[in-house]
Amino acid sequence: MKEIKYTKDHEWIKIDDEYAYVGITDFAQKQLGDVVFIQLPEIGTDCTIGEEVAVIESVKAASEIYAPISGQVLEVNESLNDSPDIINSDAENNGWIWKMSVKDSGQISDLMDKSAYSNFIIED
Amino acid sequence: MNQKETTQKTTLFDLHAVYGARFIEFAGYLVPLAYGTGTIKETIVSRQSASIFDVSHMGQINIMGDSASLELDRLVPSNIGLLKLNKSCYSVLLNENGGILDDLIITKRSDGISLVVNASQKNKILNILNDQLSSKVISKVIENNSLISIQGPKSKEVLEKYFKEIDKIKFMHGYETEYDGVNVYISRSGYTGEDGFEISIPNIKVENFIESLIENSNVNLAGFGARDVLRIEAGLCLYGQDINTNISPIEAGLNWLISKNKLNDLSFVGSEFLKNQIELGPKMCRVGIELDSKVIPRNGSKIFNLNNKKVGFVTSGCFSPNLSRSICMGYISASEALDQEKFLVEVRNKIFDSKIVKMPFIPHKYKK
Repeated sequence: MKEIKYTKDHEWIKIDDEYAYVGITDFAQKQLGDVVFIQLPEIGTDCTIGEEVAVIESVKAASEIYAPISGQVLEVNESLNDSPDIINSDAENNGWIWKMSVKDSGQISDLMDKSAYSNFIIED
Repeated sequence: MNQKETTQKTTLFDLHAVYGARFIEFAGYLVPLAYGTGTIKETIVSRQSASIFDVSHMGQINIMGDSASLELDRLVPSNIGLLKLNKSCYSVLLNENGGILDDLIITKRSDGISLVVNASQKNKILNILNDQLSSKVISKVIENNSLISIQGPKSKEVLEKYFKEIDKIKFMHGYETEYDGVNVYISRSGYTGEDGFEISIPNIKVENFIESLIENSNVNLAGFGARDVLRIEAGLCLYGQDINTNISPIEAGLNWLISKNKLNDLSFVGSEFLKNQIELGPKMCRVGIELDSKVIPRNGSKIFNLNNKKVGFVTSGCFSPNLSRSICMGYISASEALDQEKFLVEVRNKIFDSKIVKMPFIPHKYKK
């Protein structure tokens, strides 16, 4: 089962059975402007749904990135340390921020799918 | 996104939109944050080539009348009486307690004095002028001129095509000339630390002028994101953030703009306070700070000494694309700043190593 879901805070989460990749949406990236620094979480951090996990510093402001689901941080995207601009150029693929375990797959069904998210950003 | 109905637009608003601007609200105006290429590229282009900034939100005020210089002299610490024709100076308006009411550029013109003041303070300044100056002078906001800033090492070359004489003026000098049949006033000044020019041009011609300028591949439009980074790199203050009514020009490190003679004569508003503060020494001073981490301290971040005692606060910060590191400015207790250079800055409840460095972070390249 591979699926991509979206949050109201403009994170995306790509779920692949036991683990998931998290990043911010292309829409969010455009709102932030040029990204200059990403404060990555530590590997092994347990996070609860809705909790702050990472921070993106753009030229405009600092923005918190929240856990879309509960789980443990398994890996972080180290390449963002040298090239934070990947978030601007490829937010929804190579711009992934952390990889996490899925504690409760039930939380996934509460998130928006692509079309729901597209409608959400139009209304927002 | 809903915009407040009171938000104003500059004449160039539609042009900004055509060139891909994303807008933010600043001092009641909808201004471009960045264009398609983004803030980082715009910042680098400004230091390597040339950028165009629409700064028409700023207040352009004319004070007409023979006694304009003499009367304004009572309100600012700079010696306006000594200003030669078409010469400008950077100055501040103060309250009785030495607090800064606004920072501004003052230019001596043939028919009086012209000011460029911050958009957010425009009405306040006009009220002060109407209140403090005699009926022999008239202060008026110039509504039908835009203000365009062209900044960067290639700005002279870009503008010479339109204004043959432009290289004859030096930094903080200006002249009146013509563009396509209308009068414009050009001064060699700016807010980036680079060589550059500011042009006051009638609204009816500004779009045509900008469209023509950007045909030149050496010049690009740049937004307020880049403008903020550039002025921090240049160690320049933003009113409302780095300076305000609770901060004196001594604390802000702007002593150089105070005329010694006028201070001795106590001949301007706030002079007694400033003289006293110079004698006793200010309690805090504005400093430049550099970090090892790329984390960005912003307005309000706390500064601690190595004994974890809070000794100051950050007023502006950014990631500097031209230096590839985070920089900020803020105020530190004067005794601490004298003693040491290493400090700690708190960002999002974490502490980061930092040190005081000389400002400007990037040397000024004015054509003096």
